[in-house]
Amino acid sequence: MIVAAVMTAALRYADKPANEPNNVEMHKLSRSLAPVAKLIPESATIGCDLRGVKTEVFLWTRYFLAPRYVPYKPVVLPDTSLMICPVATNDSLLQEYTAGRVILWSGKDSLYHYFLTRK
Amino acid sequence: MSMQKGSAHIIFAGVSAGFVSTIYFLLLMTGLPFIAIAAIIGVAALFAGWAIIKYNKEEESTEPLSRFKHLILGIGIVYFVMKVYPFGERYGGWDAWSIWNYHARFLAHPENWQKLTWYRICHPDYPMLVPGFAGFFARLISVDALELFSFVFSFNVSLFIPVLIFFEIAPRSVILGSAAYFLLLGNNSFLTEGVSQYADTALAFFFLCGLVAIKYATMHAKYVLLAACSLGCCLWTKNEGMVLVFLFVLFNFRELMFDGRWRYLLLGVSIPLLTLVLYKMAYAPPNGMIAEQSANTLAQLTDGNRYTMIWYSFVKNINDHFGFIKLFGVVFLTALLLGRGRADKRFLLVLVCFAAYFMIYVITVEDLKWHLFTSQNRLMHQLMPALLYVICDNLLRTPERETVYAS
Repeated sequence: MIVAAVMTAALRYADKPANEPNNVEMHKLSRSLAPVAKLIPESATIGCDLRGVKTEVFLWTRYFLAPRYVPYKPVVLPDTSLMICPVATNDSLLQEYTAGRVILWSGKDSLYHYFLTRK
Repeated sequence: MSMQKGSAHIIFAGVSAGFVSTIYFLLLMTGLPFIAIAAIIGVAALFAGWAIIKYNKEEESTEPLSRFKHLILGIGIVYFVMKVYPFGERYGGWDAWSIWNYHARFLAHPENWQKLTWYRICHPDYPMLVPGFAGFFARLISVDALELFSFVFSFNVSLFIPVLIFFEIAPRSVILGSAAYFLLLGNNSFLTEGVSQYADTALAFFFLCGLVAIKYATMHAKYVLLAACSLGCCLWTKNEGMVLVFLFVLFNFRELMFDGRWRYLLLGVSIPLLTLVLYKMAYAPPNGMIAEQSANTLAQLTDGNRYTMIWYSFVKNINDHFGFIKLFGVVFLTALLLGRGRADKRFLLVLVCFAAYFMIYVITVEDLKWHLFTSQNRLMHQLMPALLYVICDNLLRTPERETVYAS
């Protein structure tokens, strides 16, 4: 009975949509960051540069990119950094944010712009 | 009367999961590649299985559950599966993705697991039984499904708690056993915490296992081993587990130490204790609660307002989350006043554990209001199943056990 219960619960959980407020955002972030996880080796250190985005996004980014090391508010950002800003950010600001850096990858979803850059 | 077969199976299943996680972490510290670690765990599991079949031929239960009781058990399990679904968040609660599952993501990568200790803000000093389980199976099967393994573990221990209480109580009183079973299964707070993918429910489960197993300690050494393994899992589940284990051993010194039983205690706790000591000494940063104690602690200890505040928060938590325990408490107190049975030392042990948790808040270095708000209900969640079980067990005391557990 217990084995059947566990299997049923696991199957239902695997199909469960992420519909709680935090989980909806996390799910989007998870899908958006998948290409970054493929580009950056697991042993790497990567900066997370939030521009006008709530702190939880750092925690979620850190979570989805683990075991890569994502330092919290470092004095100097690592050479390779992921910049995240709201999707409504205008083009001139986006250019300013990425000025002087090489864009390795960029993406966006319904919430955020993502720019993976290096010095 | 010996332990119910179902109880033994549940405790064994939980402890086995705990030991897989513990051995995995111990081997991670040796730097072995994952394939070697998985092979060692596989061989250890086969050896444990063989030893159990070879040496455990006795019938566990003298009173097997009737079909009616099995029906009640089945209804409860189905009810739990249906009711728990909305409470299980896709990525777990806040502490799941910021602490427990986050640690599991590192443990799923044996080459990089030590990096988790670089983040001082995500509590790398916490023991790793829950992350270790999810990390091991995620690495073995699919790292993308890490939260699923964490959920399965949480689901299991959440279900095991009421089922274990039912197995232990229902053979003597189906009404009391069913009441405890369904009140726990239907408690929203228990379900929320249960599948939040935190470690509190696992600690509640292992502590409960220890209390159940120790009852039979003087009958056979294998129960001492089961209790010891449960205590070992407590040690490696949360820092609070160390407090619980210390008090447990103190209260059950005779059952755990005398007549050569200390060997089984040592055998049960040795692997988790070794893992804990190695991790704490070689990798983990110091625990903030202990490292930041100062002369101010004395002022906190003598500040009556802190006690009042903690007490009111405690009462509020009982009313908000654990209303069912009031019913059992009133029945138990009435029974005591009427001279029907006595409170055994396991009941006193649980009360002392509550008192110890109370004192943690008195000396906390965090802002007290914030600390109470963020954690008191979880600490109470760790002890409530144990309290429910000892109350029910004490209500059904038989003269046979009076000699063993008279306080």
